[in-house]
Amino acid sequence: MNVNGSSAAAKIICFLLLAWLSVPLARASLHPKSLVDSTLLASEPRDTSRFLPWSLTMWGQHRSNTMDHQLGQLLVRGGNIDRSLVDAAREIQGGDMGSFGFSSGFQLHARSRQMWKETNWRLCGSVQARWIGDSRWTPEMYDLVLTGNAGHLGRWDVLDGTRARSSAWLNAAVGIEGRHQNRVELGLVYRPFQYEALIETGYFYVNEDVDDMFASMRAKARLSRKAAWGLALNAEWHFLREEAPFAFHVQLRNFGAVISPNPLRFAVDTVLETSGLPLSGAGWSIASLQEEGFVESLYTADSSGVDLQLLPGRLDLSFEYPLSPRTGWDVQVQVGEWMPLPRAISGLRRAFGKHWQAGVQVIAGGWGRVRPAAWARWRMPNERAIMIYVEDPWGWGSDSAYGRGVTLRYESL
Amino acid sequence: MNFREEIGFSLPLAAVVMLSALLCFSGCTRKPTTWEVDVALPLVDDLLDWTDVIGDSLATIETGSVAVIRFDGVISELDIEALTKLPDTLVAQELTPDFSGGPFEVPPGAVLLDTEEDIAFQGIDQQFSFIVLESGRIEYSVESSTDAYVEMRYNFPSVTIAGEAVELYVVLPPSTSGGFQTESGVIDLSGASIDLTGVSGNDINRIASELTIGTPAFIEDTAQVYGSDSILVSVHFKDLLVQQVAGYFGQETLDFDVEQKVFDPDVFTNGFLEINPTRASLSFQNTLAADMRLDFEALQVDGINVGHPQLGAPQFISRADWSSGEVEPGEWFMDLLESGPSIFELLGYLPEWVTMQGAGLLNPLGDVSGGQDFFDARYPPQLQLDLEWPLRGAIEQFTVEQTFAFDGTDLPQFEGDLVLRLTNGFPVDWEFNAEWLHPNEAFSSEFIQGIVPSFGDDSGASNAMEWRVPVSDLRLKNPSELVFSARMDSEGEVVFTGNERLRLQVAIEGTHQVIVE
Repeated sequence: MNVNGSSAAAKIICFLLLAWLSVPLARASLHPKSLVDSTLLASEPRDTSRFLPWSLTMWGQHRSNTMDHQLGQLLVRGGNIDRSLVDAAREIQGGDMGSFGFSSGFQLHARSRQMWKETNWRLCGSVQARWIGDSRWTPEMYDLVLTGNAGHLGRWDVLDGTRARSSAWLNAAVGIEGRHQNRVELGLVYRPFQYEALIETGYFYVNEDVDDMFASMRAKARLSRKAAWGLALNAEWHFLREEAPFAFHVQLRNFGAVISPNPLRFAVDTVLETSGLPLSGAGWSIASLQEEGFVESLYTADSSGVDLQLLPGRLDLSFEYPLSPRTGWDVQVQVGEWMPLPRAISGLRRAFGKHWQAGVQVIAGGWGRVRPAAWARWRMPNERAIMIYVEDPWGWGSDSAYGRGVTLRYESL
Repeated sequence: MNFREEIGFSLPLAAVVMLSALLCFSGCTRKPTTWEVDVALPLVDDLLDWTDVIGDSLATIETGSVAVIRFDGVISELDIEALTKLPDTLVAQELTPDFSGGPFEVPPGAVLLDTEEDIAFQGIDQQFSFIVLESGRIEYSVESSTDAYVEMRYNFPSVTIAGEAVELYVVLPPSTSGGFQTESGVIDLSGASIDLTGVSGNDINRIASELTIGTPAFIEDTAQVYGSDSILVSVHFKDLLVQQVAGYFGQETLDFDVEQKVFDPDVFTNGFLEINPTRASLSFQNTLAADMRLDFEALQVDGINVGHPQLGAPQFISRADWSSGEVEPGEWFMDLLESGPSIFELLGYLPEWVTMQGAGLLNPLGDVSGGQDFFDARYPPQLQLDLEWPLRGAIEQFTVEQTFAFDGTDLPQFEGDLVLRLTNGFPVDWEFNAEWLHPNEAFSSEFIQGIVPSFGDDSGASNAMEWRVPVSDLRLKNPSELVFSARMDSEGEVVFTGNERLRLQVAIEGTHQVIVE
């Protein structure tokens, strides 16, 4: 049932074309340090323009570990979902948690051209905007929502851990940068919105005779009503030694917290065990269900005070090992940013001539299944470089799993 | 500098970018997402039992080897307003000099008026000598046009609260020229004991009072009194509700109309239960220390008269004895088993109301106690019913009816069944039928019927039956009614334990299309 396959491919081609042609306007990389030749890291800025040395990275990706691309598109863009798509995704999910997540944003780095007096330190700064989302569901929750309960009467449906959350924020940071672009920055964070909902425990059961039902739910949700402000730390450390045949990089992003004033907090903790509701009476009954305010009586809502909330920070660990003068092997692990699993990346890169580098990678973890990625970097004659990174653009190698990713990077050298 | 070159390089690209973006996102117009889910949910599980037969009446069901319907309690209490509510009473005193002109000097400490008199409660037919108030108040006001300090003391020695006599004391400052000095207030009389024998101690319905008006001795100011000066005192007794009252209550006539709900026809609409009560009596507890005569004129069951030797004949009930401080009521008793036609034949048809009309008369022989009648409103006279009715007998056309109204619900593309299940816990078969009606006649009515065998049927047949009514989204979207009725007939005597239930369950099974806009 690949009814939208051709149009989807056309759109992806358009998007890649857009990405390629917009390089001078938007330059990016989701994982810039792991893809840049480390020997450049220690170099002094060569860009002789009047601007400070800077780099701009833009990225966007979404991914699911269960849904295929067609099912994901139908959920997002609309249309009728055929049961075969639902069943196929359910079979892939098995007994594991299903997940879907996305991450998008941009990041602008800059640093001063000169060192501070006689030291090895210079000023640096960055501005970044991020919007991320994460949702997870149990297999039983998936069944209940997309196939109903009739197909598994007599089974206890466990909903624990099902959740959805999304957050967007801006981080403007200043700091100092030393040798090898090791840097530490402290940023002011502005978070305009965040929502999160979590089923802590939840069960649903209907017996085979459809005359006994149990439903329980202990869940909470929180929704920001006003913008939150806070502080966050960004840091990078690069191990680069001429005597060492490898390089190692550590990156911390958005480790901090915000103060959220008067968030709207909802909580529900209720149990319904019934063989059917009585027609009338106090509590659960057919009559009371139709009364105004009954639904509101099932949950509590509160918006007093302030909440201190951690930002979804991220830690990247990268390792580079040269296999030959023109080839190398990269390994990277990323944790945080609400990813359900650490994201592990391994790949090979190769230089082509003086201006081109390219590489292929295999990615596991994060929100999706094992998938391929590829990147290319062009070092332009005017001491600029552009890079494009695509992650599983056509579902190659991952059974057309729902997910695409693209990163663009432009930098002055 | 390559900046200008970069600008030139970027302009055509910007156009391409915009076009590409347009291409990319023009296909992002969102349509509704739809999918189908299969649902199977229990909706209704309701029990019909003997408590639905008696509804919210006084009756209770006692379960056992033979169940018993029991009425045991007060079906009426006499509210004798003439004894429990006193009329509002206003007392006004105006003091004016008996001369004209002036001024005349009045020294400090002078008494202008000192009088003892009774405040008589008007509009009381009874002869009360003593009362204890449940609630009430005195609203008072004092006005003075005298150009001097005025001291007023109004004592009520026969009105005591917690043992203290009620006293009203007011000092008014001199009035300004041509105006009045006023003061007003409220005295709460809740719990007050009031001796109503007046100043003499031998009167009735009177409160002794002592009013003193003068100039205060502790203010050294010689008053200048003119002939046109005046001092007006008003005392208003309001909203006096009595807790206890003593005296002679007179020959007060009391209406005696009793209406008691017996069975609830909302669910069990009609039928006949053979009744053989083991005990049935009507009794009256006279808690007044006053003789009473009752004239019961009629006893009716849903408007049908019931005969009894005591109906229509005056019934004299002796006064209660309060001498020990606790009431020993005078009692009257009526054995309903002697009624004819038997009240129970009529009750067997599950009537909704039993009514009784009559009248009562206090002190039918006059003041035989010498003014020693007594009444405590916390212990009103009561009419009590004591009925014990074993649930053993024949049952005919015993019909239960329930109507479920559906407002209509939007379940797009729903196709499935409403599953109706009946489980019979009675020792008698139920004939069952159900009709699904659509008032707007857009759809034809669905009708189903059958017999649900009795619980413990000798043939071994299941006492549960199931019907499936096809439903669709169009039927569910329109308002409709599901009228369910069942009828029970026994062949001969049946013994009920009180635990019998008729269980009605409704479940829904089908496929529904979810639409997310």
